[in-house]
Amino acid sequence: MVNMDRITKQKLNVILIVDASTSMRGKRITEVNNAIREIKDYLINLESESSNVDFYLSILTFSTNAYWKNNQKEELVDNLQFQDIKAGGWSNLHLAYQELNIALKKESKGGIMPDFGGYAPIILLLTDGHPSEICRKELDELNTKPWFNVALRYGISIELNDNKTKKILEDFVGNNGDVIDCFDANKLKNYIKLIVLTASKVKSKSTSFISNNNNKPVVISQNKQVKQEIQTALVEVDNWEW
Amino acid sequence: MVVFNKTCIGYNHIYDNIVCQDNSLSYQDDKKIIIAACDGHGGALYIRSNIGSKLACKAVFNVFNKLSLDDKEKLTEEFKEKIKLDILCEWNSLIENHFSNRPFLDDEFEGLNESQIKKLNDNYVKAYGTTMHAAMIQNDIIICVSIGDGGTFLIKGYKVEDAFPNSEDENVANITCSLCDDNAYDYIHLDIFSLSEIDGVLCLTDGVVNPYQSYDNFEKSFVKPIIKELKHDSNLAIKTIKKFICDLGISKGIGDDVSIAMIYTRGDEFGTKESIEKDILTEPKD
Repeated sequence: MVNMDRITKQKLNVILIVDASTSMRGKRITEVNNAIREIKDYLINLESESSNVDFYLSILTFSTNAYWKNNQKEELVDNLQFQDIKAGGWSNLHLAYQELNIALKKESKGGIMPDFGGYAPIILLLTDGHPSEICRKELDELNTKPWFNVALRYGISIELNDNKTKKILEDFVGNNGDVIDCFDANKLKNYIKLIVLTASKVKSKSTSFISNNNNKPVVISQNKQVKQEIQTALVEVDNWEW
Repeated sequence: MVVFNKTCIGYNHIYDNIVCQDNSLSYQDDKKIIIAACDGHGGALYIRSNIGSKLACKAVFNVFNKLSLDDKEKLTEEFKEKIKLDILCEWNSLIENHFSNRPFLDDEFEGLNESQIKKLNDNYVKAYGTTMHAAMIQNDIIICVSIGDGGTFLIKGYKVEDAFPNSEDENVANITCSLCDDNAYDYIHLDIFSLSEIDGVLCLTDGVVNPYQSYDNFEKSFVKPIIKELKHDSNLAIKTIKKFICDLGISKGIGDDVSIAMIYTRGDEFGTKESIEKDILTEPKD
């Protein structure tokens, strides 16, 4: 009869978009690599505590080109074999946006998002400098994607005091998250972990679209709650413990 | 012709001591068959969504029951738009009638903040928010209507198709369109199909489809086994499917309420002629 074994848990995608340009070499990319390892372990533990969620980790690096790590747009955290990201090349963020556009579609349409159900993905963009090319067109395309519109989005600017890059990150997160300044690369790992792991605990509930004045649907979500929790935790990030 | 429906509470609602917010119906007489599956929203604001889903079943039944599809020339785009509007208006009318007889009680607002209470006092309809999936067969025509997550699916052989593929992107990540939305009309989908091309219709709430995640898995692991069983022994298959739905809700699924309403034209000649649930036709209990 109907195969119960093929019933799956709800899917939660965590997507890390990592600047792997030349300027990220050294301490910055080391912190990112270490963060990813620890995130993976934590998500595996979190998964075992939750009867309803399977975590999928996606690592999209961009430099001169954009690549999905292990050539996989997503991997179940349990199965992820992570090898260090190596930095070197330009900073072509627009190529990462193009890849993300393809990924943020339903599985039946060639993307990684579920055809039915699923949680709003968590997307974290890490960069230490402004992109080599203008990426407005690709971002506008992303903003037409329903899965991008519901995603919890965060940006981390790494050891930067650059308004242009800050603006790029702010455009990316929109109203669905925050841009965090990390002025010390030694703390980058903690920032990454804090954002991903706090957000991962958010559970989604069924809700409805409400029209804004332009008659476009506006998502009611728990992004606000997550933002508050992260802001509170960031104050103590130096002493933040698991 | 196989016709049946089943609703079961989800285990999350059992643990949280919440009523089942799904409702479904199936109805058959000499001229028509009507099915529906509706899912009341689970958010804190939707304090009467179990009533909303019940009244959604009633609304679509009331409209479909009066409909005649005999004259095919009348089945124009304007006709479809009118039926959408009729269903929405009927639901709103039923909600209005229910609320006028039963205004909010203070204890219904327990756990809500001031902003949420104000929202409900400004627009009581929100409390009844629900999805709706329904279909009617009359003569050789199927009419399907749908709003929100879950879905209405057409069975062709062992394959299944979304009756409204263009609506796919409206409902993602457990965020759904609803009959209670101000612009609900824009998100109600309705279409008419020829029975000659279709072997059956499934109306499902998201508690049934979401555990399968992908169309491919849903078709292979849910639809295909069900069709095989129905072809083999419809009577036994219906019992098995209903038991599966209960297992899905109570223990095996994602914790959500589950509803199925189905018409299958190629099985044994086993017409259930199940009556519409009695309490759909009478005033719903609080």
